[in-house]
Amino acid sequence: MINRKAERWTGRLGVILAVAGSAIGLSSFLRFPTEAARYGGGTFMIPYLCALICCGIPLVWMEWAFGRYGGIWGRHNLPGIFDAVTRRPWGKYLGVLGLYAPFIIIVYYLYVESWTLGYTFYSAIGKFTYKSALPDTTYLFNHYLGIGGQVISLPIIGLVFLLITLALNFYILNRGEAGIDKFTTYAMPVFCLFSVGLMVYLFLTRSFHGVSIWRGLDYAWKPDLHALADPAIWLSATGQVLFTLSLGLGAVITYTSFLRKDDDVALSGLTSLSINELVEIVLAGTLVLPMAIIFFGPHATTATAQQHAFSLGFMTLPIIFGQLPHGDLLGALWFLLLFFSGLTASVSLMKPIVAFFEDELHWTRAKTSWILLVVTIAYLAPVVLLQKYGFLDEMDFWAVNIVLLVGALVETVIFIAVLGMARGWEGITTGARMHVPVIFKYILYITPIFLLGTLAWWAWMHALPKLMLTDLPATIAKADLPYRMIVTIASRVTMGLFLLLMLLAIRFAAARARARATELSLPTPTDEEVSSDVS
Amino acid sequence: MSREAIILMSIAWTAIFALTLFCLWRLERK
Repeated sequence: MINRKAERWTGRLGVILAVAGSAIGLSSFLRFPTEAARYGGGTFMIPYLCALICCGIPLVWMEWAFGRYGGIWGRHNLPGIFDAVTRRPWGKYLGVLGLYAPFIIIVYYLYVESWTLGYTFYSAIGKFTYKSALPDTTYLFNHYLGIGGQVISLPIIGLVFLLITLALNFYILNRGEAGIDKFTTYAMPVFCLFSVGLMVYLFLTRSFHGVSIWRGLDYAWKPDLHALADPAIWLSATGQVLFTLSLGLGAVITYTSFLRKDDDVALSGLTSLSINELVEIVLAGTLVLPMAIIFFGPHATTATAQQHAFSLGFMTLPIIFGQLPHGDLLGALWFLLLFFSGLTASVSLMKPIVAFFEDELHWTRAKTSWILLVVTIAYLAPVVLLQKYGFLDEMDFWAVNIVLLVGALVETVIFIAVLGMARGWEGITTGARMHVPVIFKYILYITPIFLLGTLAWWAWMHALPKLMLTDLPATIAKADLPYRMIVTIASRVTMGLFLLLMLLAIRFAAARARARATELSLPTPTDEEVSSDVS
Repeated sequence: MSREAIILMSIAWTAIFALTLFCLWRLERK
């Protein structure tokens, strides 16, 4: 067992920067602009801002409060915390989402993270020193991913960087949070300042290839109110808010479970959210999407975004760096810092999984890490090899838009109905270094309605075509359609199997806990006895 | 830029800058 005391955060700023570091990652610079472009730029911003107020802020406070309660109960993972709070046999099974969501996301997140390391290398060797637009960056991106005429994508260079990424992640995971805490404190502010510098450069230059930056910003912010009638945009925007803030998957809960019982959660949680949103809305919202519009035009930008999740940043930023003096070095540094921000986020995503196996199954950190590494590599194989036909995109859609929303919905219902609003509100306000507006007590009730409404509306309009594979993008060539369908089904089946595996792990942990209690001759009741006692 | 885009962008940027400054100010206060 690791020394939990040694893992306690060294300071308030440390935990905020670590949580912000886990939140500022590939999501802000890569996923957010791509999702916004997919749904028409400015139109995406309205549901995004609504979701931020109705779900983002309340859920941040809920998860920080939940995590601190969990630490007091001696639990550091979602199944354990739900088990403690519900005191019902089914409680821990609801917490499966706190294992499943991070695992599904970490698999493809690690791959995307490795792309940023690959682009660091590409930039350093001068691949970005050209001035042309779409053809080169698209070719470079596809070439890096090994996407060509063949069915299987085999990225030779990409595999090297993927292995380096895996090695670094699992090395840091084994060393404990102290390393992340220290590292994030220095790396994130540098990354933010660098991005601010880039943004200032864009505003001072004002025009690229004869197109004004204001035209790009106009697309990124001009809403088309008619498009808001499509629930898909609301689902995607809510999923993006949850994903970027690492909500609905237990990562924040695991981090904050190491707080002391009188530590502030209200101001700390809100600060991590505001830093993350500042980076996402202001920096990434200026650097990537508007520039893609300038370089490629709206139609090509939307088509690219629909083809590959996380892709736009890899298309636009090389062109920006290509126009700067010493752009190869600056590009290498920027992508390297982006890689490090992704690294902190991916390690934080693995923490809930590790915490579960350590706390509930009493595995050692080394054993958990090695098993997690082997399973991740096995799952990464189809993600890498079937990239051309959207294995990764299918995982990303279900993990972010469905699993995270359901996870957040379950959390809010348990927070309000089981923990109780009075106790929950006390959890948010105890030790608070700010006055929490009372209106949020009512917004906390709106959060589950918003989440359930979005999910139900989307299911009503889009679930059937999605499940029957009749909504595949029209840009897919007819010859590729059968492959795309097979890969989509394979991706869903794999995700289903892993959900089953996680449920079995929880059942195994419960059986193990009962066996240990019997060994120690403790009068621990069975799940059924607990439930009958409570009822 | 169109008027709608300017309004939406101004609201979002102002709100997020104000929130961040408020948080950092409160955090620094003893």
